[in-house]
Amino acid sequence: MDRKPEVIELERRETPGKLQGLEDNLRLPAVAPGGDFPIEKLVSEARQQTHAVGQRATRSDCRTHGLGQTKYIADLALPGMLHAKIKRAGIASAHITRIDTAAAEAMPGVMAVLIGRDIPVNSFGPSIQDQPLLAHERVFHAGDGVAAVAAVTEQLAADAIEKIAVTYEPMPAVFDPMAAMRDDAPKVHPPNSNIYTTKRIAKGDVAKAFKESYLTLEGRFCTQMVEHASMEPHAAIADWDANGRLTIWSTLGRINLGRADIARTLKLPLNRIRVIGTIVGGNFGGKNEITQEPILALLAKKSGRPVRGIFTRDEEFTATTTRHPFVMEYSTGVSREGHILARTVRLIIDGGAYCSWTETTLGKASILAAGPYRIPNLLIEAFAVYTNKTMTGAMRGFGAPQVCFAYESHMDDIANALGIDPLDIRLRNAFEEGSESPTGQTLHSVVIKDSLLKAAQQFGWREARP
Amino acid sequence: MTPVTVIVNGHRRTASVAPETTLLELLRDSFGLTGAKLGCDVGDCGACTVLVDGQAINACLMFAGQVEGRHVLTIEGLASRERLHPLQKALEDNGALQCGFCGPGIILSAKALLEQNPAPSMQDIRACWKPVPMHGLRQDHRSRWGRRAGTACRRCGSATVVRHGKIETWIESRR
Repeated sequence: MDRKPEVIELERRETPGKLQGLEDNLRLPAVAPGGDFPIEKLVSEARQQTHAVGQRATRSDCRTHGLGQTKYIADLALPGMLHAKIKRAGIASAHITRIDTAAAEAMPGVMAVLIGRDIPVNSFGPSIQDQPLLAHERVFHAGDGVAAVAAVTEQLAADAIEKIAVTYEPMPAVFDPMAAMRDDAPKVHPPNSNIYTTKRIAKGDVAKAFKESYLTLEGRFCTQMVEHASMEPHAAIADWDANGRLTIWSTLGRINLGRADIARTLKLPLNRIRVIGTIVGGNFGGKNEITQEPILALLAKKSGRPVRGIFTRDEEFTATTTRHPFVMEYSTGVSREGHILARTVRLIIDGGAYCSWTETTLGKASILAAGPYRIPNLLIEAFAVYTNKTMTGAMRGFGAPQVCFAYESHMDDIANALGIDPLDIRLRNAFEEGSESPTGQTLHSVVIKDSLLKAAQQFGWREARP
Repeated sequence: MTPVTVIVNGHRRTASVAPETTLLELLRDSFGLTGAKLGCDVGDCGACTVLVDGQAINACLMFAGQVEGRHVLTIEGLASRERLHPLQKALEDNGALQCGFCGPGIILSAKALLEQNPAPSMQDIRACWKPVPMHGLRQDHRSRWGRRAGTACRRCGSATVVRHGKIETWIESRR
């Protein structure tokens, strides 16, 4: 229907009361216009077939973001699409003795219900495959999914998971990584030890060097768990075609890794799976692994309809990976002039319930734990420990920010103890051209001292200090 | 199901919705306007910000029935076939939106700010884009649905957004 310009103008100008009964056709339920925007766009020179260096680049996606036209998963819908919700355990450590899904299945509008037993290979993980998609028999942390539902509306799916009755037999749990390392601690993944991966870096003779030190300083530093809190929650859509091929739209950052995990858990050949990475509303490492994708695929298979799942903000905090909390114990022997002679570092990494990217994090943290300093005698020992908490995984820096907080705080303590300026103690110890890293790598293009001096000069470090 | 009539982006529209439907659901599911995003569902993040009678509000905290007969402006109603809204242009030119999920909320928060205060200080701009403590926000919404609270950006873009939020840019973008 062509709309009269004068009516559009009236709508813009007049109050709703005056518009009542003006034109009844306008009261028909109608889809609002999707939004107008210019189609033509000036492309910056850097994006044309010219040399890009020296040109000002633009973000090509900024326009669609600003117009609200970018399609994130929540903005996509397939015909007949169902909505999935996952029931969370809410208990840190338990045996599941019974799951009764009958009441949920009987609800009108509920099209499929899934529990751990229905998943072909119910484990995944980038290095150790210790994480179930839905807990089967055993709950390892409170955010574990125990059942999933696909229903015609999101509200109905949320109602249906409330109707699923799960009986738990509570088990002893451990939450403190130091306690989890003790022999008598409850085992998170019995019969395996709670210490699931370790790393040791040794160089020189630490004991001898400590004896020769003018001063030995100790420090203990702890960091907390951090959630990525991306603006967009984890979301995915699963859809099967008549040839038995699966298409998944997902917020996954690593679509090929995710595809391999999906294939493994579903016992499907890789070539039957297509993963489409949509525009992601923030990742920060939190969207590096699959979360609900195989669950949605199985719900879609059971119901014969496309299924979309979007995590709630609560689930973002309890059921997705977080940054590792660290306990870091430093001990450093220095000469009277502030040269570091020996350092020992003990890192205890709280891995939460599952390994995820802990091995990578542990490795990187260990290599960087001594700091960018020339230390002839060094001993670094790192332990990753299971606890019955939300799993920890990749997050910006993979363990580097935690140890940086520790070694730099420790350096300030040393400077204070010796009465040396914090800048000077760093200049005396920092890596130089050709220095050897803790793992024996010869470093080139080292500009730490230049950077420090330049920064100190720029913000007037020397002037500001008494 | 109840009929709700709203003037959305200048067009009068009616939809039949369940009484518990939020304004955000009305816009996204009934009207297909997906520019406003669901970020937290508790009024903290501001990704769902829209303007109701010119006031920036969190659409996830407002029921559809509460906008009966009122003017709602979403991000889709800002540009025309001829040109972008000056705020959209300013953010695009400065590459200020990275993941973009907060973008519609950021732009509409800024628009509401500028309409109330044509020459905002840097502090005003920061307050408009930073979420206030939760209790303050909740209270705000209990007492008066209209008052706005701020839009959060979790990405690196936020620094750029604020940096380019210089008063001059704002005043210029008003033209």
